[in-house]
Amino acid sequence: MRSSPSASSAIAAILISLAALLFASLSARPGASPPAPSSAPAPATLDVDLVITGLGAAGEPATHHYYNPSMIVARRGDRLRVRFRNLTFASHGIEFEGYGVRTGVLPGGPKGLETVEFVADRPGVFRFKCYVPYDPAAGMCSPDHDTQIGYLVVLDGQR
Amino acid sequence: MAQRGSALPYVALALSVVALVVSLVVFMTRRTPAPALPPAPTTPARVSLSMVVATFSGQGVFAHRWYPTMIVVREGDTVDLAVANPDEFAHQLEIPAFGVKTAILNAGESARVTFVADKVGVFEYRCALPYDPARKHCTPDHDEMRGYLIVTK
Repeated sequence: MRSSPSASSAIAAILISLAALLFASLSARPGASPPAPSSAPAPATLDVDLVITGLGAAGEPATHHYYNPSMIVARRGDRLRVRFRNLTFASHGIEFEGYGVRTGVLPGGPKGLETVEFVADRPGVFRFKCYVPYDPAAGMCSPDHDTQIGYLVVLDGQR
Repeated sequence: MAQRGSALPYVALALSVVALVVSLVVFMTRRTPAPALPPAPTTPARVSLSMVVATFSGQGVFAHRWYPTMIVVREGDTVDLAVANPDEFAHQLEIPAFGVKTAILNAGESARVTFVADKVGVFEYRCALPYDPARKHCTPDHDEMRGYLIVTK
């Protein structure tokens, strides 16, 4: 039978479409596989007794302020109870970026004590730092305010 | 000749060419996946470090801590701690989950403990010696002498 121009066009169209489908399917990326079911133990609660402290030359006022621990590590889902204790001469207030958690303004000494509690439900690396600007007249923070930084590391998929 | 039916195959042909061009462009410009990261080494590590009783003080407050206060290792790693007590009061490191306990460390004494972190989880370490000022055992902040060993997979 004689093939008409329209019939050969249709056959060509089908072949080209198949080629298009082939390339399209080759271009498709495999979807993300669903996370493996967790047979992990339950989340833990970490009681972190954290000190805000400083160092300077012997007999001189502290020039560098830091935290111990300066890095808090938790697994995603763990509960953190962080008790801040301010041993410095100035007031400080600490906030966890990314979590919206902060202490009040803590004076140095026995009254400078506050516990914050939250679930580390967001994985990643987050800073915790003093949010009280340096104000020597008011006894607020210290000249090294900008470097009073610690880190919260929340591990994902480690349980 | 100008029948509507006979034009349809040409429309289909044109459309399929467009589809081919589009899918070819997508195929040619597809992003090659990033090369896979080399697999994490499976050989257990030996994690040796000094652990000391650190004393932080200021504004009349004394705070004693095991330093470092947080340790992260992987399951199967060997943890090797050289524990020292430079404080003037006695302390004793204990990691109950691994049955680890040093001798009582009087002022200036040290001990070495080694164990395999063979289970995954968050494990507390603390001072095993209750506060007893008459015997110069530990300090009033005994309960705060606490740290965590995190063992990951």
